[in-house]
Amino acid sequence: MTSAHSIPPRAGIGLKAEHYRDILANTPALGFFEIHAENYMGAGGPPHRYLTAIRERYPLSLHGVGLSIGGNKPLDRDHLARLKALNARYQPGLFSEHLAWSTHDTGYLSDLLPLPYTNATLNRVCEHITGTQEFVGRQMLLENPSSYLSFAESTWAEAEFIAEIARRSGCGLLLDVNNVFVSARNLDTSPEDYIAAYPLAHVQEIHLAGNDATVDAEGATLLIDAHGSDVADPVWDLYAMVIARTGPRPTLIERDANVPPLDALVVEAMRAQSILDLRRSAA
Amino acid sequence: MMFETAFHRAIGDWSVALPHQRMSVYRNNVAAALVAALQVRFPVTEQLVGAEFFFHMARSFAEGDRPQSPILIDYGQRFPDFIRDFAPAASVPYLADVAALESAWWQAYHAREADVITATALNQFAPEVLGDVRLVLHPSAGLMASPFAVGSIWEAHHGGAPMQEIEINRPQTVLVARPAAEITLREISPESFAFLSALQQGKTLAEAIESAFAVHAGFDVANQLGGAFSLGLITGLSP
Repeated sequence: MTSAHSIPPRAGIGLKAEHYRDILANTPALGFFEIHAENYMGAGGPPHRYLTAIRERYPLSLHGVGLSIGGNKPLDRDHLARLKALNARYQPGLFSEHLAWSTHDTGYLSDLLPLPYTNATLNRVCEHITGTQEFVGRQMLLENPSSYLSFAESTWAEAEFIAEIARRSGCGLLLDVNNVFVSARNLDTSPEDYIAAYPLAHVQEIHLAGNDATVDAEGATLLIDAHGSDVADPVWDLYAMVIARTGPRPTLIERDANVPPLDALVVEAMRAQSILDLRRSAA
Repeated sequence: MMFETAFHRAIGDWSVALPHQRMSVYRNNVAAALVAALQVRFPVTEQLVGAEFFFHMARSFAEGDRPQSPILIDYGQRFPDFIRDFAPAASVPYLADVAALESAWWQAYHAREADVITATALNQFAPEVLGDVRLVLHPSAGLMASPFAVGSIWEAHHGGAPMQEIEINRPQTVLVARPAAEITLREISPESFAFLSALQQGKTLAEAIESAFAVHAGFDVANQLGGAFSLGLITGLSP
C-alpha cells in the first residue's frame, strides 16, 4: 500500500461499487477516488477487497457523511474510532466532513441537516472539529452545505462563519461549488458574493455535482442537491471563477443517484481537468 | 435547542404538519436515503414488484423503522419481516422470503474475513471423541429454508433460468457464503440444511449428524462433512 500523500490538484470521481471492476480493468486517467466513509464500515468482503486494490493504483479521499459535526450532542466515540481506523487502513490524502448535523437522541436522521449560524453553534462546531482532529490525528476539511431555508436567529453569514471556523479550529475547507449555487438560488442571494466572502486560501478540495430543479409549495423554484445528473453549466462557470482565484485544486465529480457508466463520469472529470489545465498554463 | 427539536419532529413523524414548508426537502431527503439503502440491499425484491410498488413499501417500512447508526449498510434488517405482514404484497407470497435471502446475501457480502481450515484438522481427534467436536461455521454463512423456490427466483434475476421456467411452489433450502472473494448462493438438500444449521447453532458433530438423519435416513456423513470443508465453510474446531 502506498503511504498517505497529498492528492494531486487534478480531477477525480466518487467511487461506486458498480464501477469496481471497470476501474481495475481500465484504470482511467483520474487524479483520485473519493469514498463515503460509512460505506466502508462493514467488517470485510468485496468492498474492502476492491478498495484495497483501487487504493494501490490511485490516491484516495475519505469523505464522512454521518459524524454530525453540527450536532448538539457530544461526538460519537465509536464513530470517531471507525473513522480513525479507516484513515489508518487506507491512508487517504484528504479527510472531510460536513457543516451539518444528523444524529439525535432517537438515532440517525439520514440527511445533512442545517444549523443556524450563531456564536453558540460556532463554539460547538469548533469544539467538535478540534475533537475530531485530535482523535483521528489529522486535519479535517469542512464542507459548506446546500441550503433550502435560512434561520432567523443566524447572526453570521455562512461564508464568514466558515472563515471563523477555519481560523479557530485550524481545519481545511472543502468548497462544494454546486452547494454554493444551490443555496444562492434557493435563498435568493449571489453565489459570486459568497465566493468573494469565502476564505479561498483554506480550500484544499472542490466538489461538483448535479442539482434537480423542483418547485416548492409556494410555487418558487427550488434546487435540490440531488447528485443525480450532470454538473449544470452555471456551476461550471462558478467553478472556473473559483479555480482562477485559488489555482488548481483536487476536484471531485460527485454522483450518487442515476449512476451512469464509468466512462460518462470520466468525461465529466475531464471537463474539470481541462479547467484545471487552463489555469495551470495561465499561471 | 428549538431548531433541533423542530427538525426532529418534522423528520421523526412524516404525518405532522411542517412549521416551514421548505422543511419538506429534509423530510424527503431522509426518506429518499432510507429507500435508496433498501434498493441497494433488496434489488430482486424491487424487480419482482416494480419500482413504484417497492418505493411505497420501502417508504412505509422506513416511516416506522429508523436507523440507529449512520452506517446505512446495516439498515433494513427487519424489512423482510415487514414485507411478510405488508398487506398490499400478499399477492406475492414468496416476496418476504426472497427479501430474507437477499438480506443473507448482503450480510455475506459485508461479513468479516476468516481463515478456513481443511478436513485434516479433524485428524487430531481420536475417533471416539470426534462426535463431541464442534465445527465453527464461516461468519459469512447464511442458511435459508423456504416453502418457495427462492434460490431459483434469485438466480432468475442473476442470469439463471427465467422465472417462467421455475416451479415457484417447490420448497428450497439455500446456502449463502463467502469463504473466499466471491459469494456462493446454492440450493442444498434439506438434510444438508439441517446438518449445517445445527453446526451454526453450536451443536456437536454428533448432534448435527443426528439432525440430518432425522430429515433423511440416507444422509452421507463423509461426503457432506468433506463438502463443508471443501466449500470453505469451516473456520475452526473446538473439542
